[in-house]
Amino acid sequence: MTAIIAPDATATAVAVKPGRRKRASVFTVIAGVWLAVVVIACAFASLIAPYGPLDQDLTQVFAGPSSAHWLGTDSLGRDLLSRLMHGGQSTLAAVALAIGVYVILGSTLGLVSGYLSGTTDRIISGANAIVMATPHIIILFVVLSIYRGNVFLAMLVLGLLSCPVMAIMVRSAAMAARNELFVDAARVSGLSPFYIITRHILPRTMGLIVVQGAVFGATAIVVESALSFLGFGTQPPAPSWGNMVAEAAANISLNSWMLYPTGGVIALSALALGLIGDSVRNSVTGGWTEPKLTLRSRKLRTGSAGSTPAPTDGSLLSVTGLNVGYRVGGDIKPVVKDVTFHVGRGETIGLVGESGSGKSTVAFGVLGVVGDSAVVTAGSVVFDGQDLLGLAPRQLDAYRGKRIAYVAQEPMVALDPNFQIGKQLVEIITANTGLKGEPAKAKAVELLRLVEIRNPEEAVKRFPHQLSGGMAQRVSIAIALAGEPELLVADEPTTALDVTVQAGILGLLMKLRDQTGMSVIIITHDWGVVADVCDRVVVMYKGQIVEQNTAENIYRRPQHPYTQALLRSNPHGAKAGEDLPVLTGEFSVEGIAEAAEETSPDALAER
Amino acid sequence: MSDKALLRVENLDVTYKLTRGTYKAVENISFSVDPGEALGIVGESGSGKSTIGRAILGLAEPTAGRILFDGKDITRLNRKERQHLSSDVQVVFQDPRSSLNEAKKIRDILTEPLIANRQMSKKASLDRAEELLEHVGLGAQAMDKLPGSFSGGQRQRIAIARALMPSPRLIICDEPVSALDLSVQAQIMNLFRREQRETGVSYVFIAHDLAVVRVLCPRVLVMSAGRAVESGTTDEVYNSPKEDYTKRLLAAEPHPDPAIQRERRKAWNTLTQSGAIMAGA
Repeated sequence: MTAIIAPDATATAVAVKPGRRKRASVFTVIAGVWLAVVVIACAFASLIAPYGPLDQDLTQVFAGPSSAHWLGTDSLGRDLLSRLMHGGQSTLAAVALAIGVYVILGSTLGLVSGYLSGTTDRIISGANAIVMATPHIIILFVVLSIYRGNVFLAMLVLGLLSCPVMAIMVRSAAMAARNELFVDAARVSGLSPFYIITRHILPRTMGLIVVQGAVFGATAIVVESALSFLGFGTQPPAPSWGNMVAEAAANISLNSWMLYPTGGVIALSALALGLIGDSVRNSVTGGWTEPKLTLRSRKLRTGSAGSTPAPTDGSLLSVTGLNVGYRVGGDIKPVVKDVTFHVGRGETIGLVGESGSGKSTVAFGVLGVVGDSAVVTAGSVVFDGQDLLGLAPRQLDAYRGKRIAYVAQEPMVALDPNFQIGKQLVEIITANTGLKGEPAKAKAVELLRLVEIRNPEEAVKRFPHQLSGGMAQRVSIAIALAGEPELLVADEPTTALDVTVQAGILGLLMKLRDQTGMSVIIITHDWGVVADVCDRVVVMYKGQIVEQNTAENIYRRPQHPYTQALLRSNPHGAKAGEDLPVLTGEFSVEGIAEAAEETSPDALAER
Repeated sequence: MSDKALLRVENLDVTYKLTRGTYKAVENISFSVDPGEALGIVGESGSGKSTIGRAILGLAEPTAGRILFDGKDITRLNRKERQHLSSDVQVVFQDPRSSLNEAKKIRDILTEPLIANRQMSKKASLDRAEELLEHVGLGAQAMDKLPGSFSGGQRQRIAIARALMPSPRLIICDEPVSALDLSVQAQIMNLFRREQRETGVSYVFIAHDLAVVRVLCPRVLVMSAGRAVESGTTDEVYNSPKEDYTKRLLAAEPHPDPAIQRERRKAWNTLTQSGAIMAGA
């Protein structure tokens, strides 16, 4: 068998943020235009400014805006607009110098110390700490009292003094990037540290550098102006933005107008720089930042759906005709289509499918967290007689985490690394049961004992990083159990674990289910896990249920070609030294409804 | 073991320095891989299986023992020598998310190492990259995309294409399919097999799943706590394990047949008494 490879189903990672993007870009354009105008006006001040910076017209002292003087005049009748344009030259050049020093030196130090670590890192980090501990403003004053009026030197010093902030941030980003496998791959190729830093680490930290540079630029504009304002910077009569503000402040009782153009240009330029930084970051990193699932802030369901009466066949959970879509521009792209299944009390349902099959979206729908960009277009999720999709977030809180609990694939996401696990358990217990103090602590120990952690009295004092993966998963199960849930949704709870640990965790889930009578929805792609714990199986493909039946029937008599193919591709059944059967092409999702109907009475009977 | 061995690892020790004390990740491991052969290394997390791969790749420093490639000692190489070796020894990592730099286009990911090392001209490497992308089933139009626009399985294909770029003689595969969906896993395993048939490349295939290893590797080494506990032909080890550790490992793997799995579950529960014993380990 040589021909393999129908291309993998592309994961439905739909990056949707057009609304926010657009608004951001309007601001960006305004900010960009403003900065461009300011820079050009200042750079060509000698050509385009209507007056010289020192031209006086004593007949026009403290004039307001007029056709002759667009922004008015100062105490000596000098044109404010012209002085702002000329004064901006030194201000902007000095700020650019500061940004340059800050960005180049700071990011270089950060990249080098973060990537090389060891002694280099200790030396650089030590030096950074010392510089950060020095009082910057005093050093600036000292420099400026020796070299009076030398703004460029002052800004150079400011850049030097501030660059440790950049260095420290870039360092931690570089350290994170250095542990990525692509860096290992580059090292295997024998690429030099310089090459790896510039071609691999730098692009990954670029966003951070841009934003930091822009924010610092805004600070530098303000600091430069402040120094001039205090009389340390550019000396009058030569104009600078700062000393113009100083003059305006001195004459505020005679003419309050003067403060607006001088202060305004500083404030707007600083603001514009910050905005530009943000969107440059987005365009630098935009290709690989994805939206994350967030807790929704409004009702899940849109449109006229929701009139479906709750089926009352004794099921704890009935998902009926569920349709979920992602907003893409103005359209809604369906990712879950007409999903219907039921979970009886004490029953364990396996939700089986591959990435992009929609199985996780269904589970998140049950939990009421489909994310910002997703929307339920039709259907109902009825839990114990109540349609969850019709509830407001506040009302949903009475279910989520209490009667319906969730266990994630990666146990560490459920645990806060800063707190002992006992504290975290007590917090959840208090939120769910109102217990406080000693009784809550006792309950925490009891929960840990329930999930079979040895010495629970000792274990409560541990921090998450002191736990092995299997133990952390047990703790996250304990947290899920704190609200005494009737339904536990477990999203690939053992995929990240060793098989021996997996066997323990699955055994535990079965024991807990039998003890408490709770129902379990387990999302998995592992047929072994299905066989181990599930009563019934719901097989999903491309957002639809292709088949549901008892675990036994699915394995022995899979009806749908997709289920058959998925079962065959399991390496368990493979012959050693032969190619694995692969799924090729597309599977029709037609005729499944029949199959589902055919089998569901059977399934109901089994219950 | 024979003299024609492509890779030979002799009495390898790797000890990590921790803030307090040291940690022996690998202890006294020896094996060899012939040209065109695939050796599986199986074990649980913390067994040291990945460290062996990293030592061969120069990413972890051996504290004792020797690693020979094609008769040449590669235990401790400087960067230039490592660069030279990289045309023969390549790697495919587990996590296709982390193993491709998301800020770079596929064309750069594939060609940059070769161009930077002057192993191939820019033109030649671009041609080769296009050819390999076709070969792994993605097509040349993938060249100008970022890793973010591909699924896990597709990314792993790209990682494999990157490893194949210099036509290596040995590829270290560190859990290359354990993060993938079943159907994708099957496709990737078959891709590895086809590549071996066509080019005679050797593999050191590191995995935690014996069933997966069996598809590709005739021989297997089972590791636990840094030591080799059992080795032999994969069928022998899989069908009649000798050591308790291997037996436990096999007993823990759930079987897709619910009826068989019920029996296995009973046996497992007896084997571990209550299932609680491992929790605090």
